[in-house]
Amino acid sequence: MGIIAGFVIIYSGKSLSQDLTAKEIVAKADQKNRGETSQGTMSMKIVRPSWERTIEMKSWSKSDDFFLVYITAPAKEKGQVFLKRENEMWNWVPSIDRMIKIPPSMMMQSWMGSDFTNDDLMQQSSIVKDYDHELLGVDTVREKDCYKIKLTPKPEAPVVWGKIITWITRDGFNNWKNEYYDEDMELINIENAYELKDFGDRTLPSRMVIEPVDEPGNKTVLIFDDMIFNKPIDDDFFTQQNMKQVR
Amino acid sequence: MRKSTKYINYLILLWLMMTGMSGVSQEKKKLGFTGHLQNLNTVWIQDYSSQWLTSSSFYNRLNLKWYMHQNFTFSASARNVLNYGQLIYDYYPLYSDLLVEDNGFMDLTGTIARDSSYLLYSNIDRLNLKFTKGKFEATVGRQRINWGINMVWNPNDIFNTFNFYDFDYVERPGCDAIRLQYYTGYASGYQLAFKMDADEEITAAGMYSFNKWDYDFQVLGGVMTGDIVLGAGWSGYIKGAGFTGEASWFRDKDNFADTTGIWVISAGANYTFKNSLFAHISGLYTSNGTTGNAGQSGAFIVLQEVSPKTFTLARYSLMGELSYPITPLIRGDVATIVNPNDGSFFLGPNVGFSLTDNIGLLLMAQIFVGDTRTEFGGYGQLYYMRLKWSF
Repeated sequence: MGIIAGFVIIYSGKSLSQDLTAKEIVAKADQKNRGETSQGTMSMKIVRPSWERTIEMKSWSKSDDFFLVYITAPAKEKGQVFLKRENEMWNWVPSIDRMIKIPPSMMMQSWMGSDFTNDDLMQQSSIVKDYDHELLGVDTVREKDCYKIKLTPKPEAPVVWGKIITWITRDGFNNWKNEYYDEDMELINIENAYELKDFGDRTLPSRMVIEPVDEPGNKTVLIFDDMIFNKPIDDDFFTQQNMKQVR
Repeated sequence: MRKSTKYINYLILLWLMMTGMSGVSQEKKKLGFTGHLQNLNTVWIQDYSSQWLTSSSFYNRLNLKWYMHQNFTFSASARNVLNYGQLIYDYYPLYSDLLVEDNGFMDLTGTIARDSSYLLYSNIDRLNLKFTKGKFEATVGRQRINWGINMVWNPNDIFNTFNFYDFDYVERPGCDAIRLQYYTGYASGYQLAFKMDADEEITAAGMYSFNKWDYDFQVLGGVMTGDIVLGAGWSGYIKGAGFTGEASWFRDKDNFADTTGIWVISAGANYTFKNSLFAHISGLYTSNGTTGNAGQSGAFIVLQEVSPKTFTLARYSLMGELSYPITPLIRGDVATIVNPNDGSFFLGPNVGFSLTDNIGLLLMAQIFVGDTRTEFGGYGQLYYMRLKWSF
């Protein structure tokens, strides 16, 4: 029974997506989003009904495994660096000359008060490797034809969500909308992407807005100012030594 | 010799401010300029007097980084502090002298003006040149050498030790040293450091750090003023919880045969729950510590200079901490340190408010409870309000 159901899903998936499986669609979008390497500057604005805070940063990534973030604002946090290498993460705090190893439980914490967790930011989990994918159909979101795909975390995956529904545009494989559900399958966050922008070799949404469902007026806005993809970055860039040098 | 260097800091300070100012308009790549300006108000409710002592300080910190060449980076940081209030007056000149004491080989702390009611001083706590070539680095001058791993007690932090109670000066004074580093991997390498202090006492040690089984490890050996020191530390996790520890062994090098050496061992664990509640426990064992009353004679626990051998006179110390973001802008934190033998304890609640992107308000208490001659007896209660603008 399960095998037949699985077959039907795969089969219907193929017919909808012209020979792309749900997993391939997600992988293509993921690949486009991060490239083999990426580097850029971005800002994150935390918006609440009565206040706003902005964090600015530079980031570098290579494959799924290496990630480095340098905080440029606010002044109090400036110079802090986060490094992820495979399963391990460190935080360099220059004011006290201290390298802090970040334990896994801290990964699920909200990152600097935003609607993002450490995990979201550091991409500790992979939407390709850590989830099973199911194509639910096609859907139009903000005038774009999208593949609608359900992501279910694999049993051992280091993931906080119960499931994610994602909309990926058919023309450009852009991650256009995401719905994040908790383990009780209750909708927690809605993420929308806006403002396609040319970043050298590719066009990507440059503004992402994430809104918690049960807190109207709250949102976190991520804006990508500059991004460069596939420019070679040496593995030596993602080291404790470089955490103390990068700027 | 220390006298002769006394006024150099004003020149450096002047230059620092000038380059700092011009740096704002210059190309971002060459100069980095940060700092903060704050006002701290303190009320001290003493155990042995019915009078509350108040004090206030204005403190400006300036940090300069000059990326002068691809191989050379120059760093300097200065503190300019104005202290005034009853605390200064009642403990004049003892308290003021303590504030301007520079334990470095160079005397880079200078009193600008003072009398029994106030103290205006400046201090340069970083002043170093760093040479980098590939995986090799050499840093010469006043610098912070932080070999600590734990959050409260750092037996491996032998150069300028972290003092948990001195919450308003987390940067620590810095030491006058030469440090060589060679990185052998992304989280491994060798360090050699040599420090001389104001009494021309030497602390010199080597450390090897490496990464294995997703843990960071370090082993070190050398001398810390009059003692031979050997130490080791780790940082890793058990399930989701962070798990860190440090141990050091000290033995008087001049009376090596007559003494057995002392162990200072500290370990801690922390866990962040899904609702962002952060919980942390730590313990400290000092082998020559007492299981009786562990009171010290100093009046100012916050200012006392600590070394890994003098965190406490007690054999056992226990620490617990809970921290929770009440809202994204308000973080509440409560820490306690207990001496299980003499029954005295410390309680440190605080609430931090983010007022704007760059302005923060901190309300804090340090409450010391214990009988006479116990570890935490006699210090009374300290209440703080700090308004801080970072730039």
